[in-house]
Amino acid sequence: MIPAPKTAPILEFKNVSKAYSNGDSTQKVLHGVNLSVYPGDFCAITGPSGSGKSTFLNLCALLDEPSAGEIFFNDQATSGLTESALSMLRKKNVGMVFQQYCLLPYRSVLENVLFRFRYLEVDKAEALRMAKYALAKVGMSSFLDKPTHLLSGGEMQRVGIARAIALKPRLLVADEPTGNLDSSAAKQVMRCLNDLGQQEDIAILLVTHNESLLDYASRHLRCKDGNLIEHETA
Amino acid sequence: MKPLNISPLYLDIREGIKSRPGRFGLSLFAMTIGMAVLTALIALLLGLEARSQQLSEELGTNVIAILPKPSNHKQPLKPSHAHLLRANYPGARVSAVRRSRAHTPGTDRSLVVIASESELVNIRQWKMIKGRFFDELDIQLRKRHVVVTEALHKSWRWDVGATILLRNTPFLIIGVVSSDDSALAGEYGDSRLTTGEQAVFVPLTVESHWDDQVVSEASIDALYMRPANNMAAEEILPGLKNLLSQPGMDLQNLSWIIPATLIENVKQMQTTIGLTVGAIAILCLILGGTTLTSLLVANVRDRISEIGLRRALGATEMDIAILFIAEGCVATVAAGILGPLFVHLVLVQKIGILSRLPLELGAHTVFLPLLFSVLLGILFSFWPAISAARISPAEALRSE
Repeated sequence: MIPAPKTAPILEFKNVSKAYSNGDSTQKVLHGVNLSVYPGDFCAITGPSGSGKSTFLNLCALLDEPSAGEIFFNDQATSGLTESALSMLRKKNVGMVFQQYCLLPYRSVLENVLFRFRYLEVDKAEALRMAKYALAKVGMSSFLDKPTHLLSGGEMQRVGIARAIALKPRLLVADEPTGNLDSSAAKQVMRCLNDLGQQEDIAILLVTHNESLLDYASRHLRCKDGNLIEHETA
Repeated sequence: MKPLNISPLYLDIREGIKSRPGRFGLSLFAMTIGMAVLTALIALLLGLEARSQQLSEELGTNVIAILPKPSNHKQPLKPSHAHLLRANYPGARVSAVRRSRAHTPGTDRSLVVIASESELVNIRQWKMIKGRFFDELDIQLRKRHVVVTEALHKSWRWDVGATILLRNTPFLIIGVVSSDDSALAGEYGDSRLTTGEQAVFVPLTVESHWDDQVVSEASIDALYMRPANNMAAEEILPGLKNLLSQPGMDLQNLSWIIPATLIENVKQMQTTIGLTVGAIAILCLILGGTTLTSLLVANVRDRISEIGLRRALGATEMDIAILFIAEGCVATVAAGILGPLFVHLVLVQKIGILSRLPLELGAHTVFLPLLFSVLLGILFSFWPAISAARISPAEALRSE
């Protein structure tokens, strides 16, 4: 079931295509994708390897530019924005969670979450408060000073989620966040994401191969041959 | 409260170094050697520059010294050659000089006795500390007057008005002269031009029966000349050579020394040292620099996902480039501090290996290598930094 729009979409794709040129040949990855994502949406994206899921996710996170079409972020057209403007939009509004966690090995749990503020000018006390709040949200408050290499996979991923939400983003993009976790840890992470989406009104886009995790999502998007098809969730 | 970056650049740099400590250490080591050699080179070149200036000043501005070559025993200079120069170069100051040694009764020392004409003090531009130098009247009347060096005045308390004995012949001290020629006495100078600290000056015409050795009155050891104000020593030198080498003179085997000659000798040495030591410094710095570049290239390759993370968190291309350039500069600047420190404290102060060389150590041997190290850091880290900055964030995260 497609939920009724609550407010204006946070992210809107209008006829977006993406192609990569490799010398003389051009490989089309996405064809004319249309999509609106609203605050509080939890979209699970599935599809076979090479179907364009990661490309779609990079476009959502403003890390890549479409070959054709337009992406609106918070009602603002992103084409034509300078690199620094895109970077500003991304750092204030988009949180990212990675399959391999991408934690800094020489820093503690708290320092890794504080790294979210690395490229922002922010009051230190305020950043500390926000980082601790984010860690509390994912149940990692008791691990503040622990080096990240001593954590389990599930714990590392929760630190990655805390880093992503520390700045209260409007959009959270997660690329196979449970791909390296056992089923118990994966469920824990999914519950964590689900709660965040509902409590913090964050729109979540999650790529997964694990069909059993679709129950946590409010929307299911299937990527096939460069097209994004919306399926009804159970 | 003032806004601040939560994770300052130094923390990022520290992690970059921690990720490849061995390679960083190797690069730092090679760069430090290069910087130490560079520091020694700068100090040596500047020291030689100062030494050439000192040599020129000690000989005297625009002075020409004419001396027989050490191998020349048959064709001695004569006082008549001084008259010839005076006659051909009106307005020029000329003095013949004869050197000998004399024992001073009551001491176990012998002094260098410089017998000269009255113009010597003006030609060499020495400063009178007390009294006066002997004049034409002293020369004509063969007065037994003596001028002593400042060193003798201080160490032996010889003062104006006192009488001293040069091999039992009394001489009246009429002046104290400052004739510093420590640089001329050194290995870059010419000892034949020096007087030394233990020297006295007497009129050339005074009989030399006080001398330890038999001295031929007809011969002299050197001629000093300072052309008139409107003429440069370099300009009149060819004419002078022609004058003293004309038939009947028999004076072909002479050394002609002007300040430029002394400076030229030092310049040649500067060039030789500059080329040899400079080549070593450049080799070390290139070795260190390329090691640094390869370290950074490896760092970029190993840290692609970190670069992706940083871009995802809002870092711009410039932020990424600055990070890697800063990491490179840390290695070179550390070498830029350690290298000069090693030269200043260890090689010069502690071990003293370089203390015999004319090194000019100072702020320039600290700040020039430091400045150079920053430039090298930027140069050798520029390419890895730019290639890191150009990695597309999507591509970087895909490598994750």
